[in-house]
Amino acid sequence: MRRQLLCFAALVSLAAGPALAQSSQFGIRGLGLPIRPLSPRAVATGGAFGMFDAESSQNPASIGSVVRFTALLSSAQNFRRSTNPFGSSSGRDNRYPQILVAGPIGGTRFAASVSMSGYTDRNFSLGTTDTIQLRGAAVGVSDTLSSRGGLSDLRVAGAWHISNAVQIGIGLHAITGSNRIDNHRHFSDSTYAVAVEQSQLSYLGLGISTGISVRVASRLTLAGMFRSDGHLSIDRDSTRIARTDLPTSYGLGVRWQPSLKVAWAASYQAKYWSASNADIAAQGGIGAVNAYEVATGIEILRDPKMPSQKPWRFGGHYSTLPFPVRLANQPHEFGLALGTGFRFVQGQGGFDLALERLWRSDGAGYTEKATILTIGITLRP
Amino acid sequence: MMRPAWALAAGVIALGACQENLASPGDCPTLCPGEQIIVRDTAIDALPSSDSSFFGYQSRAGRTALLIANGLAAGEFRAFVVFPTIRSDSITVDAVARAFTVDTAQIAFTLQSRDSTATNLRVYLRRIPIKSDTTLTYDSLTALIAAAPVFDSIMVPDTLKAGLIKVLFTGDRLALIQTPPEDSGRIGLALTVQSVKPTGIRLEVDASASTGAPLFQLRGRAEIADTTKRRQTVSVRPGAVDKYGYYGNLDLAATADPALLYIGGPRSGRSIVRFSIPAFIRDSAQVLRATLELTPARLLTGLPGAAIQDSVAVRGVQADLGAKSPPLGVIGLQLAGLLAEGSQSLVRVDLIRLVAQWQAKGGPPQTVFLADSDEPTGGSFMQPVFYSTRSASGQPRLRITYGLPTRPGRP
Repeated sequence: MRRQLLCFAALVSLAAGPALAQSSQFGIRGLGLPIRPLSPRAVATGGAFGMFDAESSQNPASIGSVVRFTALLSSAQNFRRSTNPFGSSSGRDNRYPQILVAGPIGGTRFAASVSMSGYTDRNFSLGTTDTIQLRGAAVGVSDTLSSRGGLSDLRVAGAWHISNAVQIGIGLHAITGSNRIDNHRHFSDSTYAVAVEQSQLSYLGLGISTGISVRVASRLTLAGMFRSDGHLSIDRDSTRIARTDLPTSYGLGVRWQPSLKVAWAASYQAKYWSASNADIAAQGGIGAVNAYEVATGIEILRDPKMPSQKPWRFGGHYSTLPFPVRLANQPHEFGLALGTGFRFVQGQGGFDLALERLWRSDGAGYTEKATILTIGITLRP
Repeated sequence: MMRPAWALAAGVIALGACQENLASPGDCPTLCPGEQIIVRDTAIDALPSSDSSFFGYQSRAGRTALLIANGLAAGEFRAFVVFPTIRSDSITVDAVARAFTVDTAQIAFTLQSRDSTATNLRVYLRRIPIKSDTTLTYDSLTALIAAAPVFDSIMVPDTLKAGLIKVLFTGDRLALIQTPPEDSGRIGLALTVQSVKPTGIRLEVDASASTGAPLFQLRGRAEIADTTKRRQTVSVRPGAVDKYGYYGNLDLAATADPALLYIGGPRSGRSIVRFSIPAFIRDSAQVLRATLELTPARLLTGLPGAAIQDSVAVRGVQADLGAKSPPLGVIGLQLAGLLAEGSQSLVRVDLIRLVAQWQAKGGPPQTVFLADSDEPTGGSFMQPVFYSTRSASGQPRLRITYGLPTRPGRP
């Protein structure tokens, strides 16, 4: 156990620097771009297997299937091109979207897990130019508003493997994070100093989730989860400035295994972000709307005895995003993904890879295309 | 087999972690989660009747330059130098006094500044009594000059902007620099200049009277067996601070108008100006540019065509004690504003670093001292005069461009 804790500490320290998830112009408003707490395996199937995946943090019941200690660190490299009515730009960033340790509690039917996932992402940098009159002369100005940070979801979860057919789980969530905002204005006339403004927002909220997984037939498994996230306290530079209600959400999933080598899954998730709408609007934001996600994916195994050794995974998802960039234009996201995995040292270590292509749009001129390469390192000592 | 795979994965992750570019095009405030920084510009007048001029800061002894001018609008300037004792009949070589036969003499000066458009520039040398010292006045020096014929001159090449200028005496011309025995070789010179147009020059008198000060040098033959030591020189420079100086015929401070601010001049004038920046700027704003604006009350006349432009030095003070306020000791906080010779245009001095000091908690008083930038090195031809807060217009003011925080970060 000590060795396992050390391993988790090493993983967390590796990820301590960068924030979680990915940057996007659709993360500018509200609390940012929602992040799916998925492992690379689940990402590669469009997120459809997330409800059943012990390395994802969607459904606490899923960790009931863990039979040995598992540690996961995933890294995502995001390449993005954003277009809006003011121009286009390309960007890239690297994040650590999912860190998890899980394992059975020896001699029992219980399993436990600690994970750190992305909740929302508020990494962005906006650049604008203008000309203003100063001291009777036209002076060009270049503004840069940069935001770093977002919300993370620290989950401590436990699951009970009631029988071979039923697993239930419960998770406690601490939603925490910070958002450092730098506002710079450069002048074309160098006799003016650069105007700089910085502020730091800190967040803290609590949530609870519960889930179930039921094998209703030998080849058919259903899963469900419900989550309530309470409210988020927001401090600016150590002063409480606001409180924002967070959504409740639920999810349903189905997995069908027509053969030992092939599994298909689909999921539906709904998140009632409208609970945040009034609070966000009161803080000067545009607001929030409910969001949903549908996903489907297939996993094809080469060797059922070694399911993580070079499988093929495909999937896709469609989701709506809760924070409009502009009023009455709810953005949406469509993604296609594929991936595989490798195991070595008798399964004690391995990689999972997922390549995801995303298209985001609000239907009114804001579009984004992103390619995300996610690499997960799994240790099962 | 597995080690390369681990290394590859670690490399990919590490490589990715180093790359980041979050930029997106935007339009604020449409898209921004917060307002843009608010930029405003305001002019703050100096505190009424709190500005005044003081004189007598720099003594003549502290001057390390000789100003000479002829026909300048800035005034007439004359200079004098009295070289100390120099022996021309013997010289000490190898700790033994030897007979010395002078065959060449040299008088040299270091030119610091001139009007490069004034051609055929010539520095005239006149012998004046060796008892001349800084008790002279412009009129008394002029009288001495009038009574003394020009015994030689130095032609300054038109191409020379700064550097050594000298005249040599050999043969019969050595008689020109001969002195009566009772003068012990001491020689007093008055300096004037002339060119094709009104002009002036600035000669160096470095504080240690070593390398840059006027030089009187004798060269000749010492009676010594060692032929390598026969050729000898002996030199003197004016060491006593009362034995060189310059005088101008224009002293604006002599009839100073209390409603105006004076700097520089023969009396080394300085002016003090006080401000009170509004609390909301001092405490909450980021100052982006701060400019002290001074309006000349008369034409800024100095040495036209000089390579180095005249300027006004602006310093903050540690404590506001009026004329004796100690200057701020922070390095780099002596600021300068250029004075355009021949114009009466607004003088601007960038004060952002000083204003930043004023904004600091417990910072220095919002007071500035104005002085001639050349004051520590002997003064300049120009005697700037500015309008004060008692003037009907053109009062000193501080123009501040500042940014106000907008606290970005709304959802």
